[in-house]
Amino acid sequence: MGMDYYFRDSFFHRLDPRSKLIWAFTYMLGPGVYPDAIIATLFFLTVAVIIIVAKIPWRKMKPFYAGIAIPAALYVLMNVWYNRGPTVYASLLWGNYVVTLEGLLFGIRGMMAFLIILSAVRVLTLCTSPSELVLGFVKFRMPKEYGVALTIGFSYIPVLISAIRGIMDAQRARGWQFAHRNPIKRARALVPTLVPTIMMSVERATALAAAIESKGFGHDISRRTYYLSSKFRTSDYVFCTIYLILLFVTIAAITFGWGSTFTYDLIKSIPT
Amino acid sequence: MSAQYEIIVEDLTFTYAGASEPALENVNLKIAKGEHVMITGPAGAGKTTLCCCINGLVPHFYDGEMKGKVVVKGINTRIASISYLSRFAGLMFQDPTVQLVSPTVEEEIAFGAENYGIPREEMHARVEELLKFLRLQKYKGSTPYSLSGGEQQACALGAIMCMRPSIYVLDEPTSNLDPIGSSMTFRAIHELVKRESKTMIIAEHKFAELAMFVDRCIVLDRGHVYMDDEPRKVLGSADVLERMGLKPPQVSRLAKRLESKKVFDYVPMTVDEAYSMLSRKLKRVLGKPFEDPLAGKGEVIVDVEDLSFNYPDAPHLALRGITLQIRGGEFVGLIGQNGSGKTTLVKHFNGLLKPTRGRVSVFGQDTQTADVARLARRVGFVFQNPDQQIFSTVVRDEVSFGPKNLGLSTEEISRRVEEALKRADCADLVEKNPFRLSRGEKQRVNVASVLSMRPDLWIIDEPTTGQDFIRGRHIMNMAKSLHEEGGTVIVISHDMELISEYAQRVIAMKDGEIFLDGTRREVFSQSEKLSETYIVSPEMVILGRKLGEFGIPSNVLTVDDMFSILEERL
Repeated sequence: MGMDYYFRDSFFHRLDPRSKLIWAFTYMLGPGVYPDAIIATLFFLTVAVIIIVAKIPWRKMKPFYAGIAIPAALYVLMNVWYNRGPTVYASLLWGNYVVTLEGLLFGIRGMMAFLIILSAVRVLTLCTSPSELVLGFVKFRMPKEYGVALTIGFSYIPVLISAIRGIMDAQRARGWQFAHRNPIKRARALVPTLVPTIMMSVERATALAAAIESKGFGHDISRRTYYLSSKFRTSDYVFCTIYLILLFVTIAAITFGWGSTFTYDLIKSIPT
Repeated sequence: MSAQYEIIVEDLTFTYAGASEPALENVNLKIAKGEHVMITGPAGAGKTTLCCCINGLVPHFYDGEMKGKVVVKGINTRIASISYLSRFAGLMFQDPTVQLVSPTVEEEIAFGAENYGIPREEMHARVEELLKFLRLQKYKGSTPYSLSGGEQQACALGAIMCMRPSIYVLDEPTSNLDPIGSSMTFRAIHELVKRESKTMIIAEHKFAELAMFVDRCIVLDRGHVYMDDEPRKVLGSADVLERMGLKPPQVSRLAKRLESKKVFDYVPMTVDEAYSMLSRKLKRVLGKPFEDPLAGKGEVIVDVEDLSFNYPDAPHLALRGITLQIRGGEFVGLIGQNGSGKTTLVKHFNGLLKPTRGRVSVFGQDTQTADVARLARRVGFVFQNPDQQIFSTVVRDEVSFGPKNLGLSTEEISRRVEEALKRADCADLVEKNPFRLSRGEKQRVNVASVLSMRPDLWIIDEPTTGQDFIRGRHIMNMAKSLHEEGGTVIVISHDMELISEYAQRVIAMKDGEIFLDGTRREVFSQSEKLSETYIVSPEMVILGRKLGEFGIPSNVLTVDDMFSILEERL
């Protein structure tokens, strides 16, 4: 699931949610747009440092990377196909499928941006509980109403899953077949599940609205307080400073073109 | 003048938008500070609507036409917002799952307090205290959805208590709890709220558990106040309440039926009260035990051998080494605490769950290899939640969903649909949208949808939760007639009275194991043993055992049994 908070007592978990948001932001923004393939790859790999510091076991990351491996590979292939530069690198057997060095590097760099963004989101949600995340957003001036809506949305996910399971059980008990070999049939078998799920969600939304108003939501939202505390400690200042400096360096590097053709030059310098 | 009353309802009539009949009509009530009031009445009587009037959900949230007025703490609800009124009048809804809005239990409890801007330290102190009071400490950081139904209700109650309202309005706060859990909760709420001299209004149909904790009982019927008196006076009309579809304590009903004998000086509300009055009047006579036949000598249709089951990721086994045989023509009642494994067990009977260890065979097919769709031809399953068993937007399509999956001809399908609708008493609903029906009607449609598949084995999972008694009875009567026609029925229920009246064989489960298994009289007469698993035997069983010294047979089960014995002897 998207929201899969994994509690660990670690330096990274203890950081203020704002620091974690700043981390995700700087990590996505700087390295994510860095124009060189090898440097972007190195940047991507720095997520490993956070994973280790946050004590996240590999089993939590492995299925995630397995899931995005195919789209990532497709992304590289597509770029190779659509972005053709002057340096013909290899020519494949069929038709005019030509791989150029420029296309390949562009594809790899793009794939790294893709991996960096998804890894940032994954690590952020693994190490920050939904409510902390909301609190972080609210501290960054997101309207409090949106914050409450977001929290309710996050907590609805498990309800939805269990309701869908219940509905599917009832359907199977009345002779409905979900297991088909044909993927189209298998997808169509899910259609009757949609109707009750939607009906239930609509009904639930009304009931929820009544429930939160009965618990004072909207009373005087500007004076709403928060049960969870968030405190910016020294470690947060240090952590954020490091990442913000990194961000500035990256932006400067991009602006002045430092190392932006590093891989290209490297490969070009190899005599063929 | 009005200051001494916390709540004043004057000539209140409310009609929901689109409804033809008013939900409440000409209601007049005055509730004083510190009063504990029970509001009861059959389904559709207007209990929930009345609760919603007190914090302004009616008329501000639910559309409709309101006449008359409601004044709460001197404030006319028409001119105040819901969130303003909720500060004084904390409303807890019946369904816990729609009021849980936070990712963890502690945040859930704090949610209301957050909205009212209570400082963080104060909130933490309140939450700690409530977690302890509600025995939820160990679930502090878990998601509320992972809790059992009863714990979810405790959590929802905590969320209201954390706001410290001066009026508590609780709409069936224990609908997911067993009788012992309910009376414990009622006692705890009662003591706490009395100590802090708060006003409390509970909409509830559990007379037996609640009556002793309230000062006043208001009976609503079709939107009108039908009775408004001390609980004991109200229970004096136990026969009327029963006809309305309510379930007064068995001892009150017995007293009403024995009224002409003048044995009871006052209306008993508990077994102890009934015993103390009866024991003074009874003479010792030797009684013959009741006959206790066990029908169903047919062939074995469900054969369970050393079944164990483990849910993925669960730390404990949900079922442990169960061996069991059910024969054709039996009527089995399956009882046990929440989490004892009842639903898990029956889900093995149509292949929804496959044994982790051991073997289950149903109609000679090993469920490990047979698929659910195939077993569905012979095993009909009515689930607990009516909303999760409706897949179509027209009742007719809903009822034909099953037969279509069986691959029957169009004529056969329509024949079966018609027959099933008639039988389940919902022929008039055929063109309606099942999602818009009342809970009782939905349940009838659920039954019709299974009827149309003409199964030989019926599994009915908890037909009585959150309902009034009469609906549970309707379903049980239907099960009884299916059984009389040769069907085999397995019913799961928390309602011991229904089980004791209808089931012939009773199986009690505890911690994933079978704890007791026998005829209904055999099982219920072991009331001490049952109470170890928090199952309360019907009041008549307990009374009968207490009166054993007078020669009352040890296997008395129902009010009818007890009445027939006492009538001769008094």
